[in-house]
Amino acid sequence: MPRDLSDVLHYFLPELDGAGSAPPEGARSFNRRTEATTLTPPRRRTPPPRRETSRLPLSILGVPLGERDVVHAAYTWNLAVETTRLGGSSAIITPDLDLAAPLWPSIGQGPRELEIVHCAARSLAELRQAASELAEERGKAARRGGIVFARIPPAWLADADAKSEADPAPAEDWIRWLLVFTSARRRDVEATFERVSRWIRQRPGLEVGVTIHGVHQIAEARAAFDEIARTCDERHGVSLASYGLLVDDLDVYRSIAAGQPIGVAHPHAPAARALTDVARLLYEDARSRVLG
Amino acid sequence: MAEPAASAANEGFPDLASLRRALREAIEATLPEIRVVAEGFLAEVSPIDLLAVGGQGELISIRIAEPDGDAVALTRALADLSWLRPRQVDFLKLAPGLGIEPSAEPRALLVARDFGRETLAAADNFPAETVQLWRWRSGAENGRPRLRIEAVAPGRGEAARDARPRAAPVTPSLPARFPSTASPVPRPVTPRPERNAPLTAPPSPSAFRTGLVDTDLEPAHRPDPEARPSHRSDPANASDIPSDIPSGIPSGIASGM
Repeated sequence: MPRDLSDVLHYFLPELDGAGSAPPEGARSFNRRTEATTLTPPRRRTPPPRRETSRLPLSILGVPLGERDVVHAAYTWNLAVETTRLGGSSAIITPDLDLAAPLWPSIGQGPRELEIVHCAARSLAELRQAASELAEERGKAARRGGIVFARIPPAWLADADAKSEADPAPAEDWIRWLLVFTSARRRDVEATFERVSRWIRQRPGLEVGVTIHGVHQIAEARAAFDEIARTCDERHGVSLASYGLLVDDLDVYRSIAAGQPIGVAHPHAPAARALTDVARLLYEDARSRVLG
Repeated sequence: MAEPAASAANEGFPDLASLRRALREAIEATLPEIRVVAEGFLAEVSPIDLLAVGGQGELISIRIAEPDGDAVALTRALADLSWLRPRQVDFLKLAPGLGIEPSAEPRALLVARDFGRETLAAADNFPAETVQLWRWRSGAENGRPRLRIEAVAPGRGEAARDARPRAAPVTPSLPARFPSTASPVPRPVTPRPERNAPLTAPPSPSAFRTGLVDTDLEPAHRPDPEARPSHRSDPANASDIPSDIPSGIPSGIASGM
């Protein structure tokens, strides 16, 4: 027999996704209040089934990676692994042009939840479409959001640059959230700024994040990021997002060689700590909005 | 929930709002590197009396303790740190002009008429910057209640041993493993890290984010049995790459774009 309002409240609440949805936030707090004021002894209740589905697709993060860019690909794969370990859902989508390239670990390595999907895309628009479908599909089962990491061949961005001069592609053909890796070396910082400048000139509204790698001190990474961000702000009025720093140490190369996530193989290594931190920043941003 | 420090025992201050106002003025006068940005800011359960941004862009929870409520206020201040830490990035997005530095650790400032020995001893367990204790004294200026604050010195637990009467007499037959209250031999005071010099310049405008500190970038203290110490690789230098990399991986791996 029901003892208090919270026992029967679910009859009056609207149905959410699936048969076993949890009550909405307001109802849960109401339940708590009711339990706090009731004089009957607390009953051990079966916890309500958790919400298993979500209507929101995962965020799509574009990562420009050359076909020989093994280190950055390893970072991307490890970030996807760390996102999964943080509780999010993640997948990597990449054009099947990569099948012959040694960019990604072979199938079966890494956590089971992390999927590397090869698609038949031959342009940025097709990649965007395939990534969107994957994000929709994964979003249905992802209770806590997540990220689809989309590998973009840099040539496609260059093509898009050239095309957009005369015939701008529709905004929906672009991946709106990009992550760029750069070292703190001056020439890399300048080259990164040039690349980012081209993209944000052609695509207003593009959100670009920068991760600095290969540093030994935080101040190095901060100075490099500040230089790019300040110049972008001054010249284009665009703010870049900072996604922390990564460490190039021996464990990164061991991880590449072994095809194992750094956080699993060398959890105490500085590289693992840094990867977790960057993944956290990305995941928090992915959860705060849906970008694609 | 009743707001803390809204007690009639806060002499000279008719209500909590005026006490907060006076504290804000006292902080501005005593700690110019701290900028108070909000009053009565609701945290996990109870409102933070004053929310401030420090000289290094760190968020500071400032809590006023009720008389004899310093232990409760300390608990709340510690809870504030956990509550503020994951929200720094959100605060930065909502109010970029505040100069919040998301990689700076939040800290707490606890203000009370006086602190009990347990609170002093408890606060001794944290780094000096994390939880700071300040005493307040009330006065009047031109008929208006004013507040004066003074820091409780580091090592406050030991120094304050005799500041307030003990709740219970110390049993002389306490075992030797509890010398802190019974032994006449003074316990060596562990040197504390120096507090960073307060910054008078405006907070850093950098939007760089990281949750790491420099020590996180140093090789792990717990050595990995497979790791070769003191070897840092430069991806641009193929000779640094260990020989166990499979031959399928190209040597110019750092900049394939």
